[in-house]
Amino acid sequence: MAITEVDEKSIHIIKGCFDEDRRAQKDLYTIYYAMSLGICLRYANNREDALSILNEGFFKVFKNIGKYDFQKPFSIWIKKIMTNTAIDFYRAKIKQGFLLDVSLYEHAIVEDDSITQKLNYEDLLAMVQQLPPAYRTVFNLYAIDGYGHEEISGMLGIAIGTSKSNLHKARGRLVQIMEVQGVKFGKTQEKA
Amino acid sequence: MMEKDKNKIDEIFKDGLSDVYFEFDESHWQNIESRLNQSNRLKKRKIVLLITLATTVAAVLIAFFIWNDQLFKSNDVLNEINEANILSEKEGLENGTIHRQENLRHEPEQDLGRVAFQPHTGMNSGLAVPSENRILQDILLMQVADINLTRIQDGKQETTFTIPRIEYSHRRLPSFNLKEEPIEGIGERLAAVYQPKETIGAMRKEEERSVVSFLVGPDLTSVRGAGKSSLSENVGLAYSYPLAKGFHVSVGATYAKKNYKSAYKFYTPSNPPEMAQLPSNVSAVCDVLDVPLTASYTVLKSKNVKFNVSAGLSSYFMLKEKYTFDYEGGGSYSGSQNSAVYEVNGENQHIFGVADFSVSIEKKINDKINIGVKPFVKMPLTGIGYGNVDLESKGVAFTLGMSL
Repeated sequence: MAITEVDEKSIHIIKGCFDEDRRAQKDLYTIYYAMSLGICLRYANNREDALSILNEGFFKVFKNIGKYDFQKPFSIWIKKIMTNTAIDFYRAKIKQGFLLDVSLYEHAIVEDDSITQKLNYEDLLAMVQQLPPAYRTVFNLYAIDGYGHEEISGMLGIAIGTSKSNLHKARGRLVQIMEVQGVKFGKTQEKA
Repeated sequence: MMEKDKNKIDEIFKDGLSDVYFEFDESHWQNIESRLNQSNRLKKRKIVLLITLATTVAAVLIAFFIWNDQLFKSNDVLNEINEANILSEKEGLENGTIHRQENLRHEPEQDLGRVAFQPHTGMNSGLAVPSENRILQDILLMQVADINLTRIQDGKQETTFTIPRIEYSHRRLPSFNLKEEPIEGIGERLAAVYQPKETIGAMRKEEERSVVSFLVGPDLTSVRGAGKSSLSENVGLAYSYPLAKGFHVSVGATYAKKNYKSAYKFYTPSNPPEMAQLPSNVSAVCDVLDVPLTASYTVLKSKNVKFNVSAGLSSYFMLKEKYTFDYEGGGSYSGSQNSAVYEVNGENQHIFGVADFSVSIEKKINDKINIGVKPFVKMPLTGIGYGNVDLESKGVAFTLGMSL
């Protein structure tokens, strides 16, 4: 259960973190553990990387807690730190991009059929983690975390066009991965 | 149509990945907790380092000002002699043997420091002889100015004599009746009377001399927080140089064989080997070259005994590190044995990585030799060795010093 608004208890915990009170830090960690690990897993190549990002992200949270603005939701602040930490973790690879045989993954869904097979969390996570960091990061930021291309461009230091392109490629590759795994997701058509 | 399909993928992943629950894993918290602890230790080390540096700088500055003050005083030695029990001008005037010229009183002080005798060209027809005090004062000044030849004009008669370089160890000077004795040869006679026993420089040298010390002694070495101490040995040399009265700077080199044991959780190696199972305990034997740079102050001093306090920084050069990792229930990163050995040679240096505090009591055996006992504490300012552990040492060194 995450703190959704800055109530009295939250303020008490956060203030304890100001004073580097280990108990308060553990309380904060426990409350935001699941949410943060979820974010880190989405942005990471694997669980090991995700745990490293989680560790680094919480370290930043505790070291920069003095910068937190009590007027804003704490969950948004911590989410942003985790996202930025994940971006930093793969920054070199994100900027470098990833050389792929584009034609192989340039798919577009042409029919609006519904999924015939329900996908669980592990399946979806595994698919996202198979994406190259450059595609995965843009996909996460745009499709799941709700950022626009302009914001993504600023966050990652890439062109808006690159952001759009990477999103497109990420989607195409996800469809392709689903197909490989035998997940029926309507009909796809390879782009000429 | 195409846009809608794309959103469909986005929705699937957003719905599937957004709300997820993970069971809290205590081990993940322990990782971040140990990192926070390490960060706090680093912060404390920085504070200790800053305090040590500030103390050292303050000590050096104080020593510098005291030394400067002493130099200033030594330049003023003339005044000290004048203030001693030399016959006063008044006394000289009272006995009527010397007639002093008024204009001598108004000579600037800085000129006195550079010129031995000011030739007197007064118009009085009588025998004009400088006062006795004046002569003694000028003879001393010659030593400062290092001028050996002086000429006196005495009305029509010109008398020339040479005063050899003279240094005084006596403050009280006898009186001369210049009226009755010829002025010629007075310099030689004064030199004969005041044969110096020791120069001022030599006297100072005796007070503050460089000392080379040999030291040997045991210490108890431990990893902070581990609660286990092991006996280690130290042997080395130190050179101490006097900066000012009571203040010394010392540099040295001590070879130490440090033994310490701790749980593996105190180890945070920069490049840990791949381990299928973490060790439970580690025993370390390290050959260390300890190079301390310290400032000392003599707090108490009697004729034969001195009590000093010192603070400074040590640099550790890890010559050889041997770690034995013990595994509970068998198994190790390299096989199924219960322990594994890891050796590192000459890879780790920690420049000014250790704060060094000590007190020492020295007893003078003779003019050249002293013996002493020196309890010391060495506190880490950085992680030491391969394991980056907080290595502390508390011990005592026995010293044998020789003044140079």
